[in-house]
Amino acid sequence: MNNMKRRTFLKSAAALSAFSGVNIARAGASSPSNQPIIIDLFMRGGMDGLNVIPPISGPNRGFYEQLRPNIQVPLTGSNSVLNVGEAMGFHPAAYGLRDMYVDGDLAIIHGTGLPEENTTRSHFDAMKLRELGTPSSLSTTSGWLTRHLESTPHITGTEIIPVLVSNDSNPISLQAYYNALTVDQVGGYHPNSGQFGEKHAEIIGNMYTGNSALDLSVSGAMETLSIIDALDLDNYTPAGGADYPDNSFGDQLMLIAQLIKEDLDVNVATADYGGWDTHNGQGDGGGGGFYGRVETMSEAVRALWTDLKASGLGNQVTIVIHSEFGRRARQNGQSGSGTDHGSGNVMFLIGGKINGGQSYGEFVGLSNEQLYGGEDIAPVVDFRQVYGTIVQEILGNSDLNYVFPGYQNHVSMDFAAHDVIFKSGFE
Amino acid sequence: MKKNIARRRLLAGTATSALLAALPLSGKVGQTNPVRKVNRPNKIATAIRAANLPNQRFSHMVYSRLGYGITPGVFNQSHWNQMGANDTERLSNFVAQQLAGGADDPVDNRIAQAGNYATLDKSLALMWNHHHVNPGSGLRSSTRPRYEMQRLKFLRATYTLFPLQERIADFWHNHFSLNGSSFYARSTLTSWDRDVIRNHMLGNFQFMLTASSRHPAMLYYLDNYNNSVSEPNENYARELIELHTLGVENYYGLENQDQVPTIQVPERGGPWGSDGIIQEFYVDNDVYEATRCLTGWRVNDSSSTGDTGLFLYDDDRHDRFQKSVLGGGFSNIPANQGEQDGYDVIRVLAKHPGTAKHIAGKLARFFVSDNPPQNLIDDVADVFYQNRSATDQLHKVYTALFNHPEFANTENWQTKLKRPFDTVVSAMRAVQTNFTIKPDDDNSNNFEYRMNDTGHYPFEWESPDGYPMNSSYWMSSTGLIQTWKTVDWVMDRNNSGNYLSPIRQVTLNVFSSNPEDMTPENLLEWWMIRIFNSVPTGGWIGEPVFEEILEFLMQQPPDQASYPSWPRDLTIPREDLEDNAWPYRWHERLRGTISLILASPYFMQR
Repeated sequence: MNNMKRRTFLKSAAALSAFSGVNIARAGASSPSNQPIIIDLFMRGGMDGLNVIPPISGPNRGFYEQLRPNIQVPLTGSNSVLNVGEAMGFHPAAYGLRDMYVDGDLAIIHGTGLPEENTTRSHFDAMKLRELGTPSSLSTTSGWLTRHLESTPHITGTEIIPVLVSNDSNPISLQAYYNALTVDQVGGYHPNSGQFGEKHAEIIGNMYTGNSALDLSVSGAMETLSIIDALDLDNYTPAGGADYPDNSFGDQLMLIAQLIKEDLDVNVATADYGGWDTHNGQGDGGGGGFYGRVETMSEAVRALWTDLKASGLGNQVTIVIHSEFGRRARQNGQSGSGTDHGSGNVMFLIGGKINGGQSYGEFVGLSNEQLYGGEDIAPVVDFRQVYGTIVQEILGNSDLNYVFPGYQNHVSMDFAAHDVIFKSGFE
Repeated sequence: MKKNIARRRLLAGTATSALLAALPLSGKVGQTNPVRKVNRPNKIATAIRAANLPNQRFSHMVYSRLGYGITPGVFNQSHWNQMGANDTERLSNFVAQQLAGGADDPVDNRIAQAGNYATLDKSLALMWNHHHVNPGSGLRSSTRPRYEMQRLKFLRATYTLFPLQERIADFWHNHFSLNGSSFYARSTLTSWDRDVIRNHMLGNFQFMLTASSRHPAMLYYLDNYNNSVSEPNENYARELIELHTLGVENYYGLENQDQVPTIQVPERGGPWGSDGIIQEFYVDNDVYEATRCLTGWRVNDSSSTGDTGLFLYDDDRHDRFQKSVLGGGFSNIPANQGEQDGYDVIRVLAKHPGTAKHIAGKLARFFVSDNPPQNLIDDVADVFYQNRSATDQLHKVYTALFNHPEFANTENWQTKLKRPFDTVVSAMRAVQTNFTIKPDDDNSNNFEYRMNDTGHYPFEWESPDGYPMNSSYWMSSTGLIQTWKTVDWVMDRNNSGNYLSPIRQVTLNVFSSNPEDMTPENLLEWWMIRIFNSVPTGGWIGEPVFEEILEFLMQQPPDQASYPSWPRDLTIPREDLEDNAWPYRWHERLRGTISLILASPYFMQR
C-alpha cells in the first residue's frame, strides 16, 4: 500500500517536534476528513443478550421467568428492569444503552447469529467464523474488515492511520492486514528510551524492509511509534462531558476517541471486552457480576458516543456491539446461577446514521417451540445482513460480494438513516 | 490521560489457534468422508519469513526450537559437536539427554540464593491450608503460589540445563491453560505445575488428563466443582473435549449422535462396549452427556468435609442415570456407576484416535512450524496412538517428533516468530544476563511491569485456549515494541553500576590482549558470531543486517555537530568504554547495539 500521506505526516511531525518542541495535533490532514468510521466492539465470551434486553411483558415474560427462576432481571425492586414502554426492557446496569436508545441513537438488532446450519457452541470457532465473515469456512485467509478495507472507495492509500486497534493484538477480523496501529497504552511506547533512541528505532525499521508478514508488521510498529511520539496524547479532555469508566475498557475506548479526533483518517477501529462467559455466578435479582460487566460496557460506550458526537463526529461514526453467540435461554438447572453457550443474540448499533430508538431483526420468542433446538434464542438474522447493511449503506462500500464471499440475497435491514439532515433535525 | 492504561487484555480475545485438517484416520470403519458443516483448512497462516539468518547451523536451529537459544558455555556449536558424530546422531542424543533430565544446579542454586520461593515444597493440602484456608500476608498470601510460579517460570527457562523440559512444560501449561488469578488457581498453582504438568508431561497423557480433571485449580476455573444434577454446568465438559482432547476439528456440530460416522477401536468393555465401535467425531449431545457424567465432582472446600482442597466426589450431586458419550446414540455408560462415569469419559477421550491427531498437530505447530507438514503430524499421531497405554507415551512422542526428518527439513527452519517470553528469555541467555528473577525484588518487579505490556506474562491468559502459538498473533505493534523495550531494559538495568547483563565486561575481556583490535567492525562481528554461532558466506562485514547495526554503533553523537561518526575500523579507546565517556558514550552504544542484534529478524525467528 502506498503510504505517502503517512510518510509525509511522519516527516512533518518529526521536523516539528525536533526543531520547535511543539507537539502536533492534526498536522497530518490538509482538510478535515469526512470518511465514515466503523468502531467494532467485540464482547468476548458470549454475552447473555437475553438479560441485557429481557422481555418484560406478554407471554415471553412468563416463559422467561420459568426458564430463569434464579437469574431473571426482576420487574420490581432495587435492580428492576428499565422500562421504555416496549415489550422488552433494559438490564438495570444498561442505563447508558437505554439513554442512547431513548435519544434515538441506538438500535437493537434481535435474533442475530451465525446461520443456523453453521451454529457452533465453541467460543473459538464462533468468534473466528464471524470475524472471517465466512460462516461456513475457517480457512479464509483474510478477515472481513480487511476485505472491506481492500475494497472500500474511501481508502485511497493516502491515509495516515486507516486502522486502529485499541488492544495489544489484532482481531481476526483484521487477519492479513499488517499495517494497523495496534496500541493499548501510549506511555513509554519505545524500544529504547536513551539518547540513541531515535537511531535505534530507525535501524530496527531498516532491518525489516521486505514484504513478508513480519516485515510489514515491524514497519507498522515503527510507524505507530513515530505517530504516538508525534502526537500529544497526554492530558486528554473528552468532549461533551463524556465520563469514561476508570478501567481498561474505558481507557481503550477513550484512546479510540482521542486518535479519531487527531484526524488521522481512521476508517476502522476495534476493541474487545471480555469476561462474558457466565456459566456460573452470573448474579441473581439483576445484580451480581453480570451487573458490573454490563455497566462498564454500557457506560464506556456511552462515553465514547458522547465524546465523538460532541466533537462533531456523530454522523461519521457507527459503533457496533456484538458477541460470538448468546447464551442458553434456560438457566443451568433448578439451582443454577449461570447459563451455558447458546446461539442467537442481540447486537447494538449506535451512530448518527443509525435510525435508533427502535428494534430490528426478530425476537422469535421463548416458548419451547420458538427456541432454536428448544434451547437458544433463534438465530434468524444472519450477522452478515447486519454488517452488510452497514458496509453498503453507511460505509459506502457496494462490494458486498468481496467483503462477504458466498453471502447471497442480501436484503437491507433498513436501519440506516439515509437522510442524515432530517435525522439530525430532531436532535 | 491515565498513564497506565489497558495493560492487560481481558479475555481470550482473538483466539487464533490455527486449525488442523480433520483427516480420516486409519483403522476405522464406516463413513470416511463425512459431509462437514465447516471446511477445515490445511493451511492458514502465511509464512512470516523476514530475512533469514545466513548459513544457519543445525545446532542453532535445534537450540532455538528445543531450547531458548544459544547459551554461551552451555549450548553452542562447540558443545553441539561433542554430542555425536553427525547432526542426526547429535540431535538424537541431545533429545535423549534433555528428556532424561538430571541435577539442575543453576536453577537450584538460584532458587536457594533467592531464599524466598516459599511454596515449592508444600503439598497440595498444605498449600491449600496456608494460602486458601488460613492465608496471611507476604509468604503466606493467598496469591503467593501464583506469584512464585510466574517468576519461577522465567528463572527456570533462563538458567536450566534442560530447556527442552521447560518448553514442554510451557506447551502443556498452555494446553491445559488456566488463569492464574482464578480463585483456586492462585493459591494452588505450585501444585498444578508440579503435580499435574511436570509429574506427567513425560509420561502418559491419560494420567495427566485425569490429574488435571481432579485438581482444584481446574475444577474451579472451568466450573466443574459446581456441576451437579440440579445445576448442570457444561463449561468443563465442553473444553475437556474441544480443547484438551479431541479438539474442535473433530466437532460435528449440533447433529444427533446417531448421525455421526463411527470407527472401531481395539478397546473393549466400559465405554467402548462389546465391539469397540464409537463415534469418530463429537456433537453437542456428547458435551451434555459428558457434563452429566461429571456431576458431583467437587473440591473438598467446606469445613463440614474437612476443607482439605483435595478432590471430592459427592454422590448426592451426581446424575445417576445412564448416558451416552461418543456412543453413537447408544448408552455406553450404565446407570449407578457414580464417580466412574467421569473416568469413563476421560479414558474414552484420551484413547480416541482424534485426540492423537489433535495433540500431534498442536505439538508440531508449537515446535516446528505454523503449517507443519501433514506426514509429520500423522507420524507423531501414530506414535501417540500406538502408545496410548504406555507409561512413557509422551516421552516416545517427543522422541519421534524431534527425530523426524521433517523436523530437520530446512524448509521448516526459521518459520516461526518467537513469542515475547521466548524472545526475552533467549536474549538473557545469549548475553549471559545474571538476573535471579524472584518474588519481592525491585528488579524483578520492574521486569514484570515491562513484560506485562507484551501481553505474554505467564498465567495471565484468561480463556482456556492458552496463549496463541501461531506467529501472526504476535505480529502487532504492541507485541513487538514492548518486547524490544523489555529486552532493552534487561541490557540497561544496573544497580549502582552493576549491570544485569555483563556486556561491557565480556567485551573488555575479549579485547584485553589486543585492545587496538576493538574497532566497531570487530566488536560487532564478535558479538554476531557469539549470538548466532555462524558466519555468512563472505563474512559478516558487508552483510545487510550487520551494516545496519554497525551504522548505529558508529553514529554521530546526537546533537553534537562537531563530533563526526566514528570510523568503522578505528580503535575504540578502552577507557572510553569502561567509563562510558562523553560524547560517544561507548557503553550505552554497545548496549543499544546488542539490543539491535536481539531485535533483528535473525534473532526473532526460530
